[in-house]
Amino acid sequence: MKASYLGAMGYAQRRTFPPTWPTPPAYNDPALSVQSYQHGIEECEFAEEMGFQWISFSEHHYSGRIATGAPSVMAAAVAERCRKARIALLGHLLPLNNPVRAAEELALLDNLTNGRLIMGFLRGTPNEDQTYNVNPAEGRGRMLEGMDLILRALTEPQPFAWEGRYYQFRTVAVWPRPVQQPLPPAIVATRSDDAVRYAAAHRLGLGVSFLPVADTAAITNKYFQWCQDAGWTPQPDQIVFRGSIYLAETDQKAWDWFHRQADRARAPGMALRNSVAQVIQAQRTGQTIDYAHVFAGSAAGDIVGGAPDLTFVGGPDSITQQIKAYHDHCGAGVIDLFFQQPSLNHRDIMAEINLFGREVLPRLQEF
Amino acid sequence: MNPPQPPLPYTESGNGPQVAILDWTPWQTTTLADALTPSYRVINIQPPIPPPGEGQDEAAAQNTAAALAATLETAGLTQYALIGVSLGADAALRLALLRPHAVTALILVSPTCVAPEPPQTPPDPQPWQTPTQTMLAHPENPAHPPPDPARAAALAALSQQWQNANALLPQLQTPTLAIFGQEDRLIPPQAPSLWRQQAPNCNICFIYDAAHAITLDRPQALHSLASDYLQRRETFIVENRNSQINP
Repeated sequence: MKASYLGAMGYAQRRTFPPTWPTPPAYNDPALSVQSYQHGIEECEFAEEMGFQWISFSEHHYSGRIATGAPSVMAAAVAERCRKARIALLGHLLPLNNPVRAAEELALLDNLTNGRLIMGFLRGTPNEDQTYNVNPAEGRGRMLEGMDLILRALTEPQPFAWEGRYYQFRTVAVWPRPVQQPLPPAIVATRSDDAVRYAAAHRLGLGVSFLPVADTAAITNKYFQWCQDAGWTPQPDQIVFRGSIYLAETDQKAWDWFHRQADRARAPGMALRNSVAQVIQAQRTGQTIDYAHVFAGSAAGDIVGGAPDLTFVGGPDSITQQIKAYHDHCGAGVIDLFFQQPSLNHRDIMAEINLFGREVLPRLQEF
Repeated sequence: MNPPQPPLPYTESGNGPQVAILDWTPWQTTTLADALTPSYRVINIQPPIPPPGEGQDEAAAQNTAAALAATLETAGLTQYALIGVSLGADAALRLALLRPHAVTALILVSPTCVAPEPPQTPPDPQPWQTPTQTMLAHPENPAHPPPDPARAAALAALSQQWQNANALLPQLQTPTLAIFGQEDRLIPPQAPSLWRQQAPNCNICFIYDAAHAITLDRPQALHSLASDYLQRRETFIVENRNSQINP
């Protein structure tokens, strides 16, 4: 099993953010921001040095918690410092992005890394739809069409036009071509049947995030079945699970830390107003919305949501077993880990990476 | 010299610039003609498909093109845009080469006559025999009309003969738009780029969420694209819609 380090590039003072999303830019001190990115890059370098095979990036907006709104820019910077690891862009939020631009960024990254790119496509969390004014009801359709268009743009050898449902382009001719032919490895990060089916039908990998083992297995089992129906078997590297982690020298130390975090309740900078969350969910699922009712219940500024609970907590033995469960029950061949918990500083993260590299990573490679 | 060709049956509708449509699919839909009728004089030709064994080769294709040309001239068309659908695109290509000064623009929807050389697989008649399963991106759509079985069988036979027209492409000077369904399973994946590469004035376009039968899968997208190309030819690539939100 391979390990991937999520280069979240969190802002150093992210623990001070207000609970709600988006985090006002006023919280960003430019000098501290520069330092935060430098620390984040150092963490990626150190993760590679300690044996992480992938360094991943994920598109998230308007918050310093995962501060990579332009993940291709971040990936390019890190790729110049990390010269061996695969650079996994997991990934572009397709409903938000111009798919042709995304294809150009991916092709350029594959060139800059001399074929080390792994590309990922995902829809994004409910708040992300608000970033570029995307109707939540259109997110799924935009993602499915966006994937088709990107794959076409990266493989079609002649200029072409595209007449889609959401995208219309009359001249597409992506330059450069990817180094990896016909395509860099691609992961569809999803929990939804239609996107899982898409991944299976197009022989793409699957990514699942932040779910318990049983729920993840329910998704990957469907994926394996649909891959079989499509006449192929995915390789271990094509099943990626992303989870958040806190690793300490012992279980006791890890759980003591965890319980101290419980006092802080939800992670800052992630929550949505209840009214907004309700409407997004309703639009995403095609429900009729009673705006009068929604707004009447939210005048006090209720908040819901927030970061998911930690997926992996414990000492090296426990963490190894927890990760192994995703390998054994879900078929995951790559574990993509989010280390930057809000209360941790750069020194804490480096120590965790060190411990993970020494005590956990060698054991992951045994299965 | 070919003998004079008798006119082929056709229907006519609308007024304006002249457009001829050759739709050789197992579905005899008129949606494309209907969509163009408000702005164009549309001649919709449904030529009889040669029965199996009657010389379905390049010479027969040329004869068919000659018959089409004669029919359009009989109808009074001297200059016209030509739209060919599926195997009808194969006939349209030959007609454009036969009457280069008459055919002012060529729109080929799911053209089947170009393939990589040497052929990777022999022509397969099966898709034509079960068109609902093989030619539609969404066969479950209840709005789709059933195909005509006799027409499907005749086209299956025809598809065996009219194959590779690669050598004709460099001769094609007519402004051409070749349109392909993103999920077309009949046309070799290399075919669109061959059109773009070998035909001097050819643009190619992929229609998302459509298979071979684009006229059924995404009719509005096809109408919109075809109308734009008919109006602006190769300059259709230039965006001309106002995108201001609050002018």
